[in-house]
Amino acid sequence: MKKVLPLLFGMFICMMPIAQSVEPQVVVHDPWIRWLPGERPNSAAYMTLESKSCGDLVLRAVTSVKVKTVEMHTMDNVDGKMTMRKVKEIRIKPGTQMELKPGGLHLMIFGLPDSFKVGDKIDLTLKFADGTFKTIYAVAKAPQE
Amino acid sequence: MNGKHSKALPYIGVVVSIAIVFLLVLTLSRQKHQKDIKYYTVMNPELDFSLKDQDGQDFHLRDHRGEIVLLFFGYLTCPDICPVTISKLSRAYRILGGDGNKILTVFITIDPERDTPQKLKEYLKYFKLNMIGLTGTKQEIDKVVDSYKASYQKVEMDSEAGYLMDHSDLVYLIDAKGRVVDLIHFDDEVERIAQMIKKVL
Ligand SMILES: [Cu+2]
Ligand SMILES: [Cu+2]
Repeated sequence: MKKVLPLLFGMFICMMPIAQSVEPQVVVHDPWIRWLPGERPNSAAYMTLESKSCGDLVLRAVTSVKVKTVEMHTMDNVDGKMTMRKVKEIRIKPGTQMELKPGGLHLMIFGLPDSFKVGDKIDLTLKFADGTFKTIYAVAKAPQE
Repeated sequence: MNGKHSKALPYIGVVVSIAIVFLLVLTLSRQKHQKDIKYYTVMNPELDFSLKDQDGQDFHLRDHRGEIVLLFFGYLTCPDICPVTISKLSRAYRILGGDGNKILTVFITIDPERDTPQKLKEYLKYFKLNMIGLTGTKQEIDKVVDSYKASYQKVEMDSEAGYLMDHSDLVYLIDAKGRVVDLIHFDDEVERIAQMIKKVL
């Protein structure tokens, strides 16, 4: 029953004839970005995206005021090489979570400001296929963590 | 007399079979061990290579006999694999306590175009490990990459981003004789890495 209740509630919400929502149906957990020593203009950001959407939640683009470019990347072991590739979208099934983590799916950050340091917050605006968007702040952590 | 013999017989049987099993296990484990060593010496059969360190000094692996060396290939602007690898190694060394200080970590750049000795020095200073950064010409580095059967590839991105390097994630565990005795993978847990190192310390 514990599992069925939220599901029923979700179905109820999904059936409500609400107007096009302006807020994306997503909860973002623990967004962080890796700070690297030296002049490192590029890095990676991670977080968990929990979908509260009735349909597929599709992340189409990420922008930031503080950095030059943000891309969505996968990381796979191809013929023994850890290979990063740009992807056009990240698709999350209803009621599931998508984990962006080291060695896997991540947001690739290009062109960090020179002043970037541990503890800084980098704004990331997640833009979804349905036109909704959400701005979150990734906290810079040292690579030791 | 006869009765005594028949009483001792089962005992002798047990002792003999234990001895046989013991010998069998011993030979099998030794065979397995030898097979491992044979497999990994396929990598860098000369047990040596030479490159320049972050201070511009010559580095020869053979000068580090008697030390445990953990070696891997990467590049300074690597956003994910390299920093995570260094972080995992330093946490494994912490588990090993004082023994962790005996290990020499060797980072070989596969991006000499961007990773100058100066930049290597800056990067290494931050991590506070017993770590050496090595570079050289592309040809010199490629020779070392080949000898360890590693691989990398330059990947051009759109103009602003420059380029990325795909590279193998293995960390080579090198014993006091310069032989590769084990391979650490990116996915290995810190505790497992510590256990692997402990075996050769
Ligand atoms: Cu990436
Ligand atoms: Cu790397």
